[in-house]
Amino acid sequence: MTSALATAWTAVLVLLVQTTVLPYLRPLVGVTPNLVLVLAVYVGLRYPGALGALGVFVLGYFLDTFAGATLGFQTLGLLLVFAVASLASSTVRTDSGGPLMVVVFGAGCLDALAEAALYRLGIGGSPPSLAVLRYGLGQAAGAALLAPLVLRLVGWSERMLGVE
Amino acid sequence: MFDFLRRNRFPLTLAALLVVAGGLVVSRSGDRVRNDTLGRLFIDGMAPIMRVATELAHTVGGVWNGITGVFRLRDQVRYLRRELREQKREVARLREVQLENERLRELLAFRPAVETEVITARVIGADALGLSRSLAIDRGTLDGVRKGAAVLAPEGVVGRVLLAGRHAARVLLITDHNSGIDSIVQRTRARGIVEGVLGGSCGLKFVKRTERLEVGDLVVTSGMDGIFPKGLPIGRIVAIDKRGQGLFQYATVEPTVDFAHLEEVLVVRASPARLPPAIPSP
Repeated sequence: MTSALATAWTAVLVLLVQTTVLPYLRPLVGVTPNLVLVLAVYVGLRYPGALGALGVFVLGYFLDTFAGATLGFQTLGLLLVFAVASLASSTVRTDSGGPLMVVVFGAGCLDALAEAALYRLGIGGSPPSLAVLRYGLGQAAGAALLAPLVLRLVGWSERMLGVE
Repeated sequence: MFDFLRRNRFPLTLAALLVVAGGLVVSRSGDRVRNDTLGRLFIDGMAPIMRVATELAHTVGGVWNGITGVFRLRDQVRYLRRELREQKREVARLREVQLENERLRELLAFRPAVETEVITARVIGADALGLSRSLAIDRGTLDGVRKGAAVLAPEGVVGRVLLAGRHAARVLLITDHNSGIDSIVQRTRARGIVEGVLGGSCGLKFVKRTERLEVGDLVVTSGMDGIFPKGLPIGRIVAIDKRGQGLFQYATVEPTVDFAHLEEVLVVRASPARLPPAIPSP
């Protein structure tokens, strides 16, 4: 329970960073890395249950408030990512950065594909699917690179709350 | 039955949440504004933190810009001197036009246009993921910001309010792919729709092929959508595409507002029906 609280606390920190600091990276590196995606993958691998799903739903809704125009877009993408991570939870370990980076990149690609597919269907505007896909892949790479950072943040939160 | 629900709690919860999220996407995809309570709560809660983060970012950015700016300054001075000479000539010409306009207005007994009521707001954040183009401002419904309200800058149109909390709001920029503004080309009065495209510029659509557009033409608001006052600058045409076989031509429009350096905006408070024209039509 305490470790779940530590993850929730990390989620608050990640959301703060995502909405305040990371948007300033876009002009410099071309994309805004999606740290919330990393957290959705982590929650899927570590807490594959109803509570985890609810947590990811709230994360997605929060992100929908600060990104994009269509409500539910990010929520749906993150829930899909969570579902896939939950399926992989029995085989992937979450205590090291390497495997998490690989899973995050894969999940980011899935998220980008889902987003491009939704746009292709005319939902949420009609930007070129290829451009959306390209941006999404860049975002997935950025998220994968920052995945160990999120893992460290979770570790720090756990130590702060006294989790063994 | 209860046992079944209990045993399958996770897949059922996940399926239900996926259905809810999918339902939100499908039902809200056409909405030009948002009015969800949870979203308003989130944006209000984050507003003070975003304000502090923006202050910090401006401080850091200011130091960096100070260093790099010196190198750009010399070229800019040269450019601005040349620009000033041209602007002086233009001002003299416009003064004549203004005097003529005033005389004609008196002659036709035009009703004097009331000042558009606006609220000044500070930009406190950008889009959290960057694919869409939006920004957060530090004014909300308590200050008179309404959802759907026009947001302007001295250089032209910025966008419109997508979601309004009590103390903060989110603005969808004209460069976002969900944005669309009824507009006219100032020189030819050709009508079209300015839409945002990925990459930060805009496109002018649905202009008849017979209209003679030119690179450099200023595109302004038509005032027909009941949101933006008439005659506000949107951007300048930088490329024209007539290659298609359809009835219309397409033009790439570079916005007049520099969104990367936008720090303050004006939110129109008056109801769209009361908005006077920003610039009288010629």
